[in-house]
Amino acid sequence: VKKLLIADDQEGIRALVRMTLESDAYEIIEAADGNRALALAQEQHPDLILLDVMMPGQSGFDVCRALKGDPATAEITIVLLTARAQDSDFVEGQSAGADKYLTKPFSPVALLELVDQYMES
Amino acid sequence: MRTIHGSWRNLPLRGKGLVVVALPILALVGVVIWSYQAQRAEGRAGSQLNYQLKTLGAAAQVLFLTVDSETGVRGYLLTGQPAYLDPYHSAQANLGPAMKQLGALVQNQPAQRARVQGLQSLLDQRQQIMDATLASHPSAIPVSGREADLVTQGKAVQDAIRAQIGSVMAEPARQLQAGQSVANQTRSRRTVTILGGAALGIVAALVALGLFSSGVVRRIRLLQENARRLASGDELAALPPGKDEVGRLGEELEETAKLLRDSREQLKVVFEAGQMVIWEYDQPTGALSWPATQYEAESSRELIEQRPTTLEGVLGSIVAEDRPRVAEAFATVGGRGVVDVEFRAVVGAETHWFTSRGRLRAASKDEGKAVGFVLDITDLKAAEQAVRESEAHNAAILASIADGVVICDPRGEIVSINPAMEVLTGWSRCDVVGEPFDFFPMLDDKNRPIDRENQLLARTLATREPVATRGYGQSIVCKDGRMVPLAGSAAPIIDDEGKLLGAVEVLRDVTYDREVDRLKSSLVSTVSHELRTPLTMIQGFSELILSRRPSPEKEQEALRHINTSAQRLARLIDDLLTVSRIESGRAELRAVPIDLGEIVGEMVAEFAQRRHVDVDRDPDLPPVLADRDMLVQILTNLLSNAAKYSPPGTPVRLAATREGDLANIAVSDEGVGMSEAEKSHLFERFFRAQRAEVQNAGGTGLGLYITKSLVELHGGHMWVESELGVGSTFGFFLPLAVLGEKGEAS
Repeated sequence: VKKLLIADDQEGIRALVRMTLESDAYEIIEAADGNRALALAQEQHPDLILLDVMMPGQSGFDVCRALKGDPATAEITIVLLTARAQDSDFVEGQSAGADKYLTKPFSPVALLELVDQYMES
Repeated sequence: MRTIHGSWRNLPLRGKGLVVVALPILALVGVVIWSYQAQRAEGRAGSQLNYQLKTLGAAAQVLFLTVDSETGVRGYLLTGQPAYLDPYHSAQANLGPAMKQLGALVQNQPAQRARVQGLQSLLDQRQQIMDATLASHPSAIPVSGREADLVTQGKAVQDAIRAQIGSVMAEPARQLQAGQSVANQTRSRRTVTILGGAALGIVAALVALGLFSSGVVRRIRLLQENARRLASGDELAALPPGKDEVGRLGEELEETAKLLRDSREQLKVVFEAGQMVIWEYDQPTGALSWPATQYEAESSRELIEQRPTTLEGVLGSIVAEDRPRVAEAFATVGGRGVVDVEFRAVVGAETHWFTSRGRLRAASKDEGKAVGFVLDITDLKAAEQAVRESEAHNAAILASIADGVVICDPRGEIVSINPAMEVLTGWSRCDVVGEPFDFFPMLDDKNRPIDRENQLLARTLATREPVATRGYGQSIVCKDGRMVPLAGSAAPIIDDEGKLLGAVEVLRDVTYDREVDRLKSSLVSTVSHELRTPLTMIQGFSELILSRRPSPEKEQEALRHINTSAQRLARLIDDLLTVSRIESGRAELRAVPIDLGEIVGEMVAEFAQRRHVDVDRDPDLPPVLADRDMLVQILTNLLSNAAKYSPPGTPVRLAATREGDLANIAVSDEGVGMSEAEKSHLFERFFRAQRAEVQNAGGTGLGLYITKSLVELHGGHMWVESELGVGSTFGFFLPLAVLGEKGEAS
């Protein structure tokens, strides 16, 4: 069973992702802020992280940089979820080492396809 | 006659002099010539007379000689003594030369010559008779008849000779008579000539005198009179025209008078227009005089109305505090050579400003005498004052401009900067005046130095068009090395005639603007985040419902999320609308007494899901006078801020106490807190602290602005205490609805 971490301060977003990816294939763990997300990721080594950028505590970029900078967690696939849609954010996300950048609002179907694709490979 | 008179006047003085001298001289010469001629005529008459006398003498000589010889012959004949023949021989010897002389004298007179020839033949005849007589009678007595006959014959011839000589002598005698009368005539004519000449000379002298008088003396007198009039400033009398020196002198005098009149006129205009009065001051005696009074101007004349004759007299009209200055200026004129003083004096009811300037006269005979003028400069002073005030005004304006101002000349040298520029850059005016404008290092948006020719002042000087920076990218390096972001504009200074005088640059510290600019761009992402999150949920959950046909429970949950998101969007729109209402003054307060206990209870209960709130409320607190919806919004904003900016699990407290007629309500947390700088911008629209924990927490930056505005709408005010990393307390005062005082509270 593949493990998937959702980090978003908005309970609604977490619920949406949960409901979208709900199946036997994935074990879903959640974090409501950046610090918790980093701690969970280091502790549980999920296969994929859906990481919100704007969160209390550390931002998604910070968490992403920390994980990608640490060889122990560098291989985790990180998909940034953000409402910030400016080019500078996209560039910052890339430089932080994110694998994919999804802009809110996103289609649950597209998200599911994306996650399936990463999990299989 | 008129032309003669005219040409006499036109005759040059030398000609007139010649005429005047020549007239008596000519008269004299005439008399002399005349007299000479008379004398010559007299001389001629004299020699004629002499000739006649000689002729008479010669004839008489011949007569005497014949008579002598006759007498001698008779004596001899009577006595026979030869001694009686001596006279005869002597007469015979002299008769020839005497006749020769007579012949010579009458040589040129044919009638006389004939008479003399007749006489000669008679003499010859008589000689023959004599010779015959003597020959016949060699001795004396007795006398024969023949001899008597011869004597008788001789007597006849002698008578004839006597008669002939008489006829010869008659002509000279007659001539002599005539010559005498001519001489008499000539003599009387000479007397007449001398007397007439003298009279003519006197007349000529008189005429010359008259001409001299009319042609020269009278006109010179008129000239003299005109010169006197010129000196006293009167009109000149008309002079008879004339082309001689006197006439020209008269014309030149008139010309001079005209020039003098013109220059007096000019002087008058100058003095009147210039409001001047002339003075003369004698330093040794202190005497003051006022010549040329006809040129005085009104106000200055009033100043010296009393014609003070001493300096003290003038000082009396001068404003007391200016008196010593004036007195000193005049007292020291001897040493300094000039007077130059300004003073005030009361003229009529007004105080006027005057200036007085003068200098010592150069001539040594005027030692210690100064001449100068007094000039009313009230208007000038007023204008000066106005200019000074205007300059002070302009300087004050420049100093009051909160933005830095740099003024440079056309070559780009700094002429002035204002105090704000000094504060902004740290350089003082003295440091920079005279320096080129690129003395101030400017940096572009990537902090690279901007070339001189690309700076605002260079561009505006080159193009003569106003130029301005765009955005907030440019910055200036201050004296202490700080970089201050600037927005600037520069414009050429061009006078009315289009001449470039320089340029002025206004530089504004845009540290805050740059911050606001950044905040605004972050607001865009904030608002888009705030919109996108609920939109994501609405879109995502509705798509799930539509595509997966979930179980009723799941569907219910999805719908609840959709609903919450819709409400959140509605709140965001509400916030924006509230701001708009507050700003446009359309927010309407419907204040009623509200029991705080009740409303706080409701809020805390509603909030319990997110965070526990400790309430510490004064149980005796009377109701507040507030708009219920607004009070709910105020409390909601403060409580949700407290929850948002403090870690989960940390306490949030709500306290309500009474302070006088006000209720003091405060919400505290143990969250991120704020710096002093952040606090100062806290209540500004769209302000968001530039820190991750704030940025990441989301929000529009409208909440506190709205809260504060609503509190102030109630007549209350907000307060805040905060420490970075420790926590914050936001409080506000609301008026209490004091019951009973007006009988009811509704």
